[in-house]
Amino acid sequence: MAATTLESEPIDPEVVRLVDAARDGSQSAFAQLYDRYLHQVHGYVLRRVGGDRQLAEDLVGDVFLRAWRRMGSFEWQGRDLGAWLTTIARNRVNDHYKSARYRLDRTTDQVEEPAPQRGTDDPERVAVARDMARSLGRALEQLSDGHREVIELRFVHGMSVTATATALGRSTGATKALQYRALKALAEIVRDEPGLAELAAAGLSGLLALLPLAVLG
Amino acid sequence: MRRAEREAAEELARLLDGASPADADPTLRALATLATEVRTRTVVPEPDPEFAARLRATLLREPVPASPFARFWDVLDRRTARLRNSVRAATAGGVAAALLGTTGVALAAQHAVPGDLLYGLKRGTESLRLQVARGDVADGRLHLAHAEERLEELTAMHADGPGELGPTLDTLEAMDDSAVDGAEALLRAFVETADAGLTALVSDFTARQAAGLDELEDRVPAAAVPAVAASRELLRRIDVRVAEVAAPCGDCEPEPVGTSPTAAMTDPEIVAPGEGPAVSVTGPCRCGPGAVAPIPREPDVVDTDVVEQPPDTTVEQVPEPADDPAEPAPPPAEPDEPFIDLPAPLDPVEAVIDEAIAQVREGAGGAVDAVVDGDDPLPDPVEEPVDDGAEDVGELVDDLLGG
Repeated sequence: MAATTLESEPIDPEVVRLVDAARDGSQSAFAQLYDRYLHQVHGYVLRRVGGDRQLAEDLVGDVFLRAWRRMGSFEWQGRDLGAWLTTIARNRVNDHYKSARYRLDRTTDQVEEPAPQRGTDDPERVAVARDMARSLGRALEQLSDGHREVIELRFVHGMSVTATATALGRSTGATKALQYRALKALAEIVRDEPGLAELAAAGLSGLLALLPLAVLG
Repeated sequence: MRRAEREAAEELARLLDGASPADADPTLRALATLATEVRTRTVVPEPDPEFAARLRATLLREPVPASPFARFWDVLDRRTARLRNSVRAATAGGVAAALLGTTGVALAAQHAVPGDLLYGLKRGTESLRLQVARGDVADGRLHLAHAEERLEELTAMHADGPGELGPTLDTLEAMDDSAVDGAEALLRAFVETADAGLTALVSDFTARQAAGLDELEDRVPAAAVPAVAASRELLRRIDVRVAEVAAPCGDCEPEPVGTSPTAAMTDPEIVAPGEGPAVSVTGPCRCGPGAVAPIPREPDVVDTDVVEQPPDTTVEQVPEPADDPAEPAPPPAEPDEPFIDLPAPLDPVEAVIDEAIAQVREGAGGAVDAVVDGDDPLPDPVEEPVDDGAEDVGELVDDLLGG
């Protein structure tokens, strides 16, 4: 799934066609939408439930069932279907924790192996990349729920500002403010995270830019 | 401080969009880089292929859902599109006048209660009016009117026996919020003008609300009774604050302060200062407290912030200066969102309308979803209330457009 940080998703005419067909009752059209969005919805739910695959699968099933049942009735203006599905997923996860009075047992060890970087055969670079991914993952875990959620929606799942705003039930202005505060909070944590500064010094270009964050106000 | 943060957030958003101006703030640039790092280094695990196939098969076996509400949204889309197009053509002042007209709320929306399709529209319109209200007096009167409306809704919700707990508690909370906001606004206006009509407004309000809550207490579900009692306690605390603020002091003689434009109880929806009939009043002397401390929402809060001035031999006192801008109140960790989150006070009316419509749609959508999910019973037959709802919304939008 292509990541984007654009303000709004460009409208995909194929998705529009599929949604119109699904709203008219085409199950195969809905199944194709399912194929397109399962990864995003499942990924979102899985991270929200701390890596519990069984629970994630149950909830994702509920989400798509609800989406199908609501197909003919929901308000469709050609906007981001992913945002609509994520909203349903978000509410379903929240309902689950509300009703079960279940305290989330945050597991930080469900970090997967990072995606292989192109042209990186050097095992040391791979090892460093894995360590950095773990450190970033630890840093994300320390954020407040609200901050972590906006960073995950925007930068892990690649949703646009508008789509994220829809999923969170906020305005785009409020979402931009939230992402700003969340990144500031993450930067504070990253600055104090023992592994990352050394890794940055080891020459991975991206994080060098983070060193000036030490003076973040 | 909010404006500076807003500008930083906007610039960050532009950087994330791929803009790269040479003079970009280095801190913001670093944050954008951090975002990129998160994106490229975090992996989203794939779903289990067997699970994916199983769920797909399950979905294909689900019956095709009925779509009773499709037409509702079509009508709403067309009507609100007209509203947006007209906004672009109209002047901001002209549209604002149309929105503020007392004919602007269709009867059906006015009587909506929580759970009705049009309830979102009703609350959206209330928020819209709050955003365009100018000054503490108009603001305060609107808030009190909204608190009264919440009580009306609660009465309606329990007219035929105990209603649902969730909406009851939500509506009580909204009522309390509006009562406090309204009382504080009017008391702020009072300390500026010494207009006794304002404190009378608040006192009359609390008396009427308390009577209504007494009746309500007998009808709500048992679990809501403590909340009703708490709301009544809040009204009492409002009365206490009114008395504190309005107290005459020491040897001061009350001064006649001319006419009060607000003492008469006219339609509280929108009244600009000076519009109501004039009534001659004597105000309190001017040595009451110079600022109005917030009215505590919870009974256990010890009010350490009360600003009191000792009785003084001078008849007039200089009013307290506004809050020192160098020491703003500490911002909460997660700021509360107002019901409509406007971009900025100076944005055009079009943005206000967009937000109001968005709130309306969300409210209506939530009600529709609840029916579709099976949480609420589907009205039988379905077509008629849906068509009626669509027509009501269409009429409302026509009203807003001025006919």
